[in-house]
Amino acid sequence: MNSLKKPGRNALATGALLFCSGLLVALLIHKMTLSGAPWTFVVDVPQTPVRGPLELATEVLSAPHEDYFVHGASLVATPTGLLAFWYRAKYEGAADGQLISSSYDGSHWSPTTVVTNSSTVSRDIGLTIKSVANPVPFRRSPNEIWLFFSVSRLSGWATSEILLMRSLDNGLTWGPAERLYASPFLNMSHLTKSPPVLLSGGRIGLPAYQEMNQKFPVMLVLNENGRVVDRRRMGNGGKVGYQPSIIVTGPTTAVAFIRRLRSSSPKTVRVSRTSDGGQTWSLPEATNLPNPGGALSAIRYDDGHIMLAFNDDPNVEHDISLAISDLQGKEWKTLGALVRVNESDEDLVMYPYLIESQPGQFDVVYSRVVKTINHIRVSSAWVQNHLQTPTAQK
Amino acid sequence: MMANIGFLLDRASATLLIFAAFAALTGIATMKPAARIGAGLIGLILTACVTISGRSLFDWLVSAIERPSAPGLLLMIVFAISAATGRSYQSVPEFRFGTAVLVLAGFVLYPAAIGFLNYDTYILGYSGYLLPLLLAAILGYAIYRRYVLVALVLNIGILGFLLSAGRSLNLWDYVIDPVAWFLAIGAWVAIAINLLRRKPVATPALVG
Repeated sequence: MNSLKKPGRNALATGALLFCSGLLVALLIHKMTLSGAPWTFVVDVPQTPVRGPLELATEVLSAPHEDYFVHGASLVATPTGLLAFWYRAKYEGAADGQLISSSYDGSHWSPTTVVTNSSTVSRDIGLTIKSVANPVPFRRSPNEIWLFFSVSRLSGWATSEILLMRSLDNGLTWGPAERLYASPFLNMSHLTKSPPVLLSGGRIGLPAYQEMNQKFPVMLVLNENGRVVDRRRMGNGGKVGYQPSIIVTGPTTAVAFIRRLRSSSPKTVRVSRTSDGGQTWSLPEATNLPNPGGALSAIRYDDGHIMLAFNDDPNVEHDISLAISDLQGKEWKTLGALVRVNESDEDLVMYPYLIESQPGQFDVVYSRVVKTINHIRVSSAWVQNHLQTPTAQK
Repeated sequence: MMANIGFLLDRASATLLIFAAFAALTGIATMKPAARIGAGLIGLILTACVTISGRSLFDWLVSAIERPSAPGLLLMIVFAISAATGRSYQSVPEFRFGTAVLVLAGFVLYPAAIGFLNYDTYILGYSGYLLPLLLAAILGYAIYRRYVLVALVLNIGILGFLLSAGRSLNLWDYVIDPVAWFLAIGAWVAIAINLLRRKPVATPALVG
């Protein structure tokens, strides 16, 4: 080596660096241009026979005399009934946040269980977080449930990111929280609200939204291991709306219903559409359904319809109603209110989350300002009955 | 092992920033490297002890700023060394090139990625030719100019992405981070100020 003069050593080092760099760039181009799974949705068309009672069944899930803030309820069907989740804290965004669950056997809701809390999540991910919010369950396999949720790292939801916990025994036990990496800016600020959709190749489309400064909906694409492999905006970005609820209508088509910003007009639900499997989404446009700036929850009703749970008022969240539309989300028929609180009260009904738990059986959970999480069971018979009733009679 | 490396990487940005800030502040009073290093270490202890809302200042910073990219880590190490020794790297061509690339890349990435522009440039880091070709051009120029550290650190970033070594599966996150971007902007503001200060006085024109 001593016999090698300095210019020779430099040339050798440069050559080695050039070779390594060339090799790495070639591997990089190969990896980034590999044609992955095609951009197509997995279409699940539910069978919705007309069945069940004409009356609504309502219950309260949260603990009696709850004095903490409870919000962001969600549901998933299990082999024995339902599993509900929500978050609980001294006040919204407080540092002592908990994710709570309760199971339903068809007649009773179980006592509540703490799934995780701020300090456990901090230990899981090795970073101190402040609060937890918006749990969204996803049925991954017959026994496996994934639970997406948001955590605020500092103060305010703008500093949030999305985490994932997995259960292999239908929600009896949970693995540690894992971080989803979805933003180049300090991994802030994405949140969840609505359930994911399935894409081809085992991938998952997770509806999410950007919260910091701008406010717009996005679809995060996760691989089969739950890592973010792409993200697509619904529209251009900017101050648009949030909390998209995606409904797959065909192998390459879907619609997303978007909660409007309270500062925006008209005071109606927004909708964005894709016709290329979620690669691009149209600019969100206004529908004729009122929206006070409250959360929405949509499901595919049958082969030709979508059902939406929403607040049927342009200004306040005094009711939770159902409406049905065609697969384009253009022609809506309001079915009527599932719950309505007195407009003179300070109470509000918010954050509906709708699922079809069995063919022809629908369940809605929502939160009230009076610190309760509530459940309503709706049958397809109720839906069909209200479809045939003129709106003025409801 | 990987969990420990992850734990250390999560705290690397906060540690280096606090150390550099305290060492640089001490540089106003003394030029002695030992005193500056001592101040940097005291800064770390102080921020670990001072608690706000049940969390230490150090923890707040760790929660806020994420782990660094490979170039970001190198830049913060350079800043920490500069703060501890008092040596300036502003006139080093490799430093200027590396920070200039970070400044430009950050302006391409961040405003668009967080929604200020219609196109999301972050998705270029998931697939496609464009970002790899841009990196190849930067690497080629760096090797041509013998900017070995820049080339090495980009290679480390690319290797990390190829091995999916970090939490992200996006190439951008392996070659830039917001803290590095802000530091690079700061470095170029300082370079610009120094250039303006050193501007030669115009020679008076000869009369007659």
